[in-house]
Amino acid sequence: MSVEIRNLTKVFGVGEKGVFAVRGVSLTVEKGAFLTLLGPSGCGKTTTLRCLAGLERPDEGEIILSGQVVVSTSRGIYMPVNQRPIGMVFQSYAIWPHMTVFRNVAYPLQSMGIAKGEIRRRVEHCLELVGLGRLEQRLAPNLSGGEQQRVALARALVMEPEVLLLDEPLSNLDAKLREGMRVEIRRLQRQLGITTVYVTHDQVEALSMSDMVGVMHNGRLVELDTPRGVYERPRTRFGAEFIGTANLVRGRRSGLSEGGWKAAETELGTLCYASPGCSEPAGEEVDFLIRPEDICVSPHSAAGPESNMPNRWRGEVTQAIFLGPDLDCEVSVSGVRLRARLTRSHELKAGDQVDVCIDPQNIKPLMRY
Amino acid sequence: MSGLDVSSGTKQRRFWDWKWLILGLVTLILLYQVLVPLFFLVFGSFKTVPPGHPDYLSLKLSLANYARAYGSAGFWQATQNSFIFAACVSTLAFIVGSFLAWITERSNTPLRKLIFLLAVVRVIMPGILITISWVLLLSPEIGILNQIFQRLFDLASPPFNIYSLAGMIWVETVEVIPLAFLLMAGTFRSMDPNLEEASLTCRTGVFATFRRVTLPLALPSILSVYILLFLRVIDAFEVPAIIGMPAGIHVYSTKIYLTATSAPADHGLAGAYAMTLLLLSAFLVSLYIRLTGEGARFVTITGKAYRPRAFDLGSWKYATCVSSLLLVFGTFGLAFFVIVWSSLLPFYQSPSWESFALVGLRNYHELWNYPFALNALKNSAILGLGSATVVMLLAALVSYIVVKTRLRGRALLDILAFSPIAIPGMTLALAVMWVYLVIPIPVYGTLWIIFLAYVTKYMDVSTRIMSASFKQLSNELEEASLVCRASWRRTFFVVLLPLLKPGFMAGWIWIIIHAFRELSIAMMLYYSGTEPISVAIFDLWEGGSYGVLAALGVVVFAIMSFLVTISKKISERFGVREA
Repeated sequence: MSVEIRNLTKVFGVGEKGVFAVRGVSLTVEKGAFLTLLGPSGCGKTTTLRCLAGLERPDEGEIILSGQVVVSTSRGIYMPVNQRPIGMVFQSYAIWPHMTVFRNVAYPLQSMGIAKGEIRRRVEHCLELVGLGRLEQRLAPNLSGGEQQRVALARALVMEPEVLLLDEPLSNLDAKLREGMRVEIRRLQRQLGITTVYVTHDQVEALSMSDMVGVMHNGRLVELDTPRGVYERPRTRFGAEFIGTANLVRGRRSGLSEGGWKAAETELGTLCYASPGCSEPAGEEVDFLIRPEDICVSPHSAAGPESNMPNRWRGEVTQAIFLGPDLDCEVSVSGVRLRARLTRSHELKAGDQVDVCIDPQNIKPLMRY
Repeated sequence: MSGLDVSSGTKQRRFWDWKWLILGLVTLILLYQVLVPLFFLVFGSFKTVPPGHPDYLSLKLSLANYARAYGSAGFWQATQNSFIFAACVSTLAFIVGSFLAWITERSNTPLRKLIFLLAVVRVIMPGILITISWVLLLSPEIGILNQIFQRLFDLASPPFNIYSLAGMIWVETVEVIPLAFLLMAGTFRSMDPNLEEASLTCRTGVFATFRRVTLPLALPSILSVYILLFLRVIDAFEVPAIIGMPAGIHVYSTKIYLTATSAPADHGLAGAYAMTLLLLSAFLVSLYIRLTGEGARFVTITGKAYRPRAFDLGSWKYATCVSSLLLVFGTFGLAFFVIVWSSLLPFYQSPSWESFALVGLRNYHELWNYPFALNALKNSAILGLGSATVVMLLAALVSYIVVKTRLRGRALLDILAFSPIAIPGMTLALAVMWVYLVIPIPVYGTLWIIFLAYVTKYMDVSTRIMSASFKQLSNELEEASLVCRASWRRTFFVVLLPLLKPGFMAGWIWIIIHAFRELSIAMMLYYSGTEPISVAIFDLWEGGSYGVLAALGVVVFAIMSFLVTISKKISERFGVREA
C-alpha cells in the first residue's frame, strides 16, 4: 500500500463556527495506482490532497505514505511538508516567474543538497521526459500554459517522489490541450509507475485517467470504485447524479420476484431489476438509477407492448434534441419524464408515441443517502 | 513502521524552529522599536527630574509638566500658530494639488505627462533646500524677487517678508503640494469613469458634472487626503525651523526642539509638548481610519487604474496647460533655479550682467575639499542604505506574518507596525533620546541612535507596501517551494523575496529618499561628527555659506534623481507582478 488515509478529519474555523471540510475519510491507494478524487467545489477533495501533502494539518486521522506514518493525531506525529516523499503539481502551476525553466526544476534537488553534476543530469532527463528539452533557459513567464504545466510536472517528478499529487492541473488549459495532457500525464504515470493522487471536478478526466475514482460530497467520501464501477454501480444518489446523467425513479420494494428478477412498485409501474445483494427488506423505499443510454425507445407498434417482457411501457416523446452522433430524447411514461440517449438513426420528434423498454440488468438500486 | 515515526518527529521540530525563531525575533524587534519609545515618552512626560537622574526610574509621577505647559502663554501661542499654519497649508495645498491632479488625470490638457513629472519630481528635493531657496527668493534683505519687484515698481521697501506666518504658510504649501497632488491623482484614477459618463449622457456639461458627480463621489477620499495633509504639516519642522525660529513664530515641533536641546534642557516641558502633539496626531489618524475603513490606502494609492476617459476641455485646455505649467514652475522651478544659481556664484546676489561673469564651479570644488560636507554625505548614505535595508527586511517578515499566516495576534502586529504613522518625527526623536539616556546601550551620540529612530519611523509605510505585494502573491508559489523539500528560510529568501522585488525596491528607494530628506529626528539626535546631510545644510545655512550649501543641494538632488531612475529601471525589468 502506497497511500493510506484513516479517518481523516479537517475542520476550518473553531468552536461553533467550525466547518467540516473533510470528515472521516478513509482510503488506500495501491503502489503504482492512479486515484482520482472527484467532486464539486467545496466537497473537500482539495483539502484531502493538501492534508496528504502536508499543506493542511488535519484535526484527526492518520496518513501513511509508503509505509511511513506522516500524520497521526492520536500519536502526535506530524511530518512537515518539506520532509514528505511527495511531488505536487498545483492548479496555478506555481512556476516561479523569476527563475528559468532549468532553475525551477533544479530547485527541489538543490533543496535536497544534491551535487551539481547530478542535478544537471537529472533535470535534463526530466525535461526530456516531459518534452521540454530545448526550453531550459527560458524564463517562466515566457512559456505557454501547456509548457508551464510540463515544467510543473517536471519539477514534481525530478525528486523521484513516492507519491505524486496533482491539484486540478488541467483546469487552466483550453479544451484541446487538456485532452492531450490527459493522455500524457497518464502515460508518464504508467511509465514511471508512480503512485498518484489526482484531484479534479471534471468527470471525464476522472473516468479516463484513473485506476480508482473516489467521489466526495460535503467532506465525505461517498464512492470509491473503478471508473466503470462508479459509473455503472454507484452506491449513492449523489454519486449517480454527479457522474453522467441519471434518471432516478423512486419506488418501494415489493419483495416479489418476476421471472428471476426482483420487483418494485414505482411511479412507472412494476419495475424489475437485478440485484446482486442478498435479501433486502420488502416495503423499503429506494431510488433506482437508469442511465439514459440504457433506455430503448422504439416507435409505437400497434401490437401493443408484449406483456411477457419486463419493464416495457408506452410513452410519448416530449422533446428530442439532435446532437450530431446522438439524439437526446425526453420521454414521458405515466407522467414520469425519462431522459434517453439514442443513436442518430432514430428519427423521433416531440409528440411521437413510443414504446420504452429497459433491461432489468441496467437498473441499479441505490443506497439511501 | 514505528521506527520511522521517531525520525519524523525529530525532523518536525527542526523545521518549525527556523520559522518561529525568525518570526519571533521580528515580533520582538517590532515590539521594542515601537512600544519602548512610546512608554518612555509617556513615562518621561510625568517626571520632573531629567533622564539620568537617580530619581528618574522611581514611580514618583506628577502632572507638573503639563501644568507648566498649559499654564504658559507660549504654549497657547504655539497651539494657535500650529493650527493656523496646518489649516491654511492643508487647504491651499489641497486646492492646488487637486487642480493639478484633475488636469493631468482627467482632462485632455496638452503636456500633461510633463506636468505630472514636474509636479512629482520635486519630492526628491529635501524640504530644507526648498525652504532655504524661498528665503533666498523672498527674504527682505537678500531676496531676489524682492529686489526685482523693488526695481520694477520703484518700491521704497521690499514687498515680501518671508519671516512671517504668511511666509511660512507659503513655503510649506509649496513643500506639500506634491503630496496633495499624488494623493488626489490616486483618488481620481481609482474612480469609476462610467458614473461620470452617465452624467454626461444626461445632458449635463463638463463643469456641472464635476460639481454634481465627481466631487460628491470623491468626498470621503477628499476628507481623508485633507487629514493626511494636516497630519504632515502639524509635524513639519524644516519651515518652522528655518523661517519660524528666527522670526520668533513657534509651532509644536520647534517648541519641542528648543526646550529639549537648549541649555539647560527642559525635558519635562518638552515631554508635555510632545505628548500633546502625539495625541493630536493619533486623533487625526483614528479619524482617517474611520473615514477610509482601513489604513491600507496610506501609501499604495495606485490600485487598479481605470485610465478613465479624459474630459475634453475645448479651447480651455490651453489655459489649463499654461496655468499648470506656471504653477509647477512657480512652486518648484523657481526654487530649483535659485539653488543652482547660488551654487555657481562665490557669494549670493541677484542675477545681473555683472554676476554672470562670476559664474563658476568654485563651490563644487570647495565642497569636494570640505571634510564636513563629505562626512555628512557618508553619514546620510549609511543611514539611508542601512535603515532602508533593515526596515524593508523587517517589513517583509511582518507582512508575511500578517498576510500569509493564520497566527493569532497577527492583526495586533499589523497595528503595531502601522502605528508609527501617528508618531510625529519630533516626538519620536524625543522618545528615542530618552530611551538611550536611560537604557545603558551605548548608542547615544552615534549614528546608531538616528538609525534606530529611522527604523521605527519608516515601519508604517514599508509594511503597507510589503503587505500589498504579499497580497498579490498566490499562496501556491510558496507551497510549491515547501513541497520541493525547501526549508522555510530558503522559501522566504529564494522564492518569496525575489518575487516581491518590485515592492521591495520601491519601499527601499522610498526610505532612502526620505532618510536623506529627514531633518527633525536628525536635528534632535545628531552629535558632532554624525550630522547627516540635512543637518549639515542647516549648519551651513546658519553659518552663511550659501554657495557651498547650494552646491551640496545640487549634488544631493543629482544622487536622488539617479536613485529614482535606477529604481524605475529595475522595476521595469524585473516587474513580475506589478499591478
